Amino acid sequence: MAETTVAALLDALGIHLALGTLAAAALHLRGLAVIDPSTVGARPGFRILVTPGLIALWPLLILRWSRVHRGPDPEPLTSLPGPDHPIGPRRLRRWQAVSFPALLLFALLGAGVALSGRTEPWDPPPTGRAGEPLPLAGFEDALSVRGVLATDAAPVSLALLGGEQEVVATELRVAGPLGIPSLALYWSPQRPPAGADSPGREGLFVGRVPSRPGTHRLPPPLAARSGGGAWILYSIAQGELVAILTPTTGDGEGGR
Amino acid sequence: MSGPYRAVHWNRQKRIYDRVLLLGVFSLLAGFAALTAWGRRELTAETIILRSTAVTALLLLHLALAIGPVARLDRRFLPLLYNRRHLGVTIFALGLIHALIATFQFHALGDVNPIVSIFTAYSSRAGSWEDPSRFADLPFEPFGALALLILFLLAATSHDFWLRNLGASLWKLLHTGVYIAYAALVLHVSLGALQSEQGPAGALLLALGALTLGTLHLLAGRREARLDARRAELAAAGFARACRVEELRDGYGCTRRIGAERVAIFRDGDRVHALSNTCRHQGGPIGEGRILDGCITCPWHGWQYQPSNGTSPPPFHEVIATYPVEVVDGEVLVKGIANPLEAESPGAPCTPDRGGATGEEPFYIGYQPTAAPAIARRCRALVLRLAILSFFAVVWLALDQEPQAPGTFEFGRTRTFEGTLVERPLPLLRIDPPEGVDGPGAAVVLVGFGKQGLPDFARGHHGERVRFDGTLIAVGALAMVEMNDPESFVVLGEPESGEGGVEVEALGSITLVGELVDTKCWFGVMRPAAGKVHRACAIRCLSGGVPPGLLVRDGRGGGAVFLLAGRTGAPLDFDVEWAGLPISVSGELELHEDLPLVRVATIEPMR
Repeated sequence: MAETTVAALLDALGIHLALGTLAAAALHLRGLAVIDPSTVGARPGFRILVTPGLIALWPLLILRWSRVHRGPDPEPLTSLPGPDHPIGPRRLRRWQAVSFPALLLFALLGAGVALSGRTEPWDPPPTGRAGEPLPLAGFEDALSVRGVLATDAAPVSLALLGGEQEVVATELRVAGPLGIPSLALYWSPQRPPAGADSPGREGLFVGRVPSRPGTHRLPPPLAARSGGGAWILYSIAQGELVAILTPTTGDGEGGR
Repeated sequence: MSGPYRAVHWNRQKRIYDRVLLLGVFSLLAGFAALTAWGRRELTAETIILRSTAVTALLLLHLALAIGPVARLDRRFLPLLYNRRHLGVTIFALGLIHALIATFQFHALGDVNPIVSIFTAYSSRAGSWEDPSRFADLPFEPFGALALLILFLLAATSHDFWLRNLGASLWKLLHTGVYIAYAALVLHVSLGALQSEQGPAGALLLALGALTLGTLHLLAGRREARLDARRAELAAAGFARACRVEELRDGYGCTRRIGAERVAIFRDGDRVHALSNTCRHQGGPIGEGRILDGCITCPWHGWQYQPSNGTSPPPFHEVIATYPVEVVDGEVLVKGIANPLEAESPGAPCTPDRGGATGEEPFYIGYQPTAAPAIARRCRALVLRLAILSFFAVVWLALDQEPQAPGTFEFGRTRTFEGTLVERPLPLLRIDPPEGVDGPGAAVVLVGFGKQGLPDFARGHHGERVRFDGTLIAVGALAMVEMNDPESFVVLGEPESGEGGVEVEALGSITLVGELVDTKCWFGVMRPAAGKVHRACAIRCLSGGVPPGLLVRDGRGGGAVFLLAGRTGAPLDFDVEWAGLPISVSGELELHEDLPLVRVATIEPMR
């Protein structure tokens, strides 16, 4: 119902503006010179400047044009009315004196009610109090490992635990929230050639990379336990090799 | 003063005005945009333009509305009023940019005419118009549209052509519509941006601006009312307007007819005196004389009279009549009935306050090449103070913006995706790991161009392997693809038996409370992608078929989005106007590869 009404009003506005365009053309060609001699010889800049107004308010100008046709006196539509005229200066001043404070009061009242009724972005809080974790007890591990709670891009580093000759675990350190979807860690006995877009046929899946910041342990593939090879970050959704990590042992840092 | 119209009658003062204005506008826009881009990197460029134009336009509107009463209270600020129409047109231009981008961003490319959407996106919901306690849920967009319409009419009719042809009163009445525009904008901001931006800057500055404007208008109005009352009182007592104080040079006079009498009016320092214009000697015109040695001196033969009582200085005995005189707001009023002869008449003070000009006070004329130094100094000082205040307001507003969860939208870039298309329960693409490589696959949500769900060209291919070009949208580890290239869509056939399906891991029953959002915007197309300012866009997206999501926040600025689907594979039954509102969802939580999805058993709005 509302959509139909608004659409009908828009159609009416469209017709008004279409007629306004025709009226503006007629006014530029003939009417303006009749109703206002100062438009004769006016520069194009003036004509461009008044055209939007002519298109919008064309009935007023056409009315004035018709009045000029009926009589020789091209008075403005409101010819300096006296103080007690409905839109004379005195009434106008009174209207200003009353209307602005009234409008301001109305607007401030509305703003006050609107602001008092606003809700916090997390309102109502899922657990009843702001500052508490998501109500995901029992699900957090599954969700965080899948990266549900993660965002943005940040460096990832890799540490191999157990020494270079015998890797017993890999420790991924995500320094900040990641912005790369479906990120997985692969190991390959060979470093992929430059320009490669996947871990290669020999790539072995190690685990999904949690995009939540923190330290995450992943068991290495058997073939990787003797050390060597390349540790590869690959985005399955993007189909892109994101980085080849240089692992460290102990507390050393790796880089993307 | 008439001749052929020109777009603008340029002169030096107008050029200075416009340069200062443009410099101010550019500084405010650039300052806000730069601070936002630095402090809130997650916001998209459209949002930055939207906010910087809005902040700048609103600041300038406050200035435009303040100039009138300020100039009435102190006429030395009249230069600021001189070219105010350019200020008004600039405000409209900024508002138009804001409106065009907002309309395109939040309402276009959906299933409803964007202009219709502005007025109807969520106006029909119970709890909005009908329930006063939910006033904050009222749509804010129509108030902005009303303000823009009024600002357009004011800008379009700002040329003198309109003043002449509409007539002064109708033109003035039309232009007082700026007050309605201002009130509409206060509501637009309060019901819109300030619902999402919870920091103190926006609300406090808006209240401060409104109170300042209200105070200035009340002060100016009170002053005008007092002057009007004084004029009326004097008129009732028989006083008539004679001239303005600035028409009188110190020590000189002029002649005016008051009733049946000709009266000479003189200015002597800070007082104005009115005396008979007829010299007692030969009837010489006293008003054409001047004050010498403290006495009014007739121009014909130098006969002299003291201004305060009309008597000649001793030892002479001639006397002329003096008249009661008053000065109201720089206007000299004289009573047509003379004082008793020789009665002391101190005259009227002619420097009553800052607003009353005197002959020594500089008078501003805009088409002169330079303003009087005193006026120029005063205006420069005020503009400088306003610039500093505006600078701090913009900095505060820019730094007080709510942080948003970062997302990625690779706008303008396409990638090729290949995998198994799944239409139920939600449109997904299951992407396999690289060929020959061990490991899991990934699931990405599929949407169409603009505010559309799965496009028609991709429908009817459930379970088939497909390849197409699209644009990646990602938040955290979750990904979505906008299928915007129908030509690239190729069906590769059925997947091999047992492969290609989305791995589903059931996690159990769950009940969550959060905000209903459209996942396309939340995944990264827009920032902000939630809250009141985004509500209409979310409604359009959900109405167009974009998968719904439940944004659950943790109260620490973090949160997660859960895809929502019907329990039995059927489309989720919900009202799109719940978008942007808190809702409660119960159902079964599942992981579809990477994607958390709730098969909804019950969904209901919290208010």
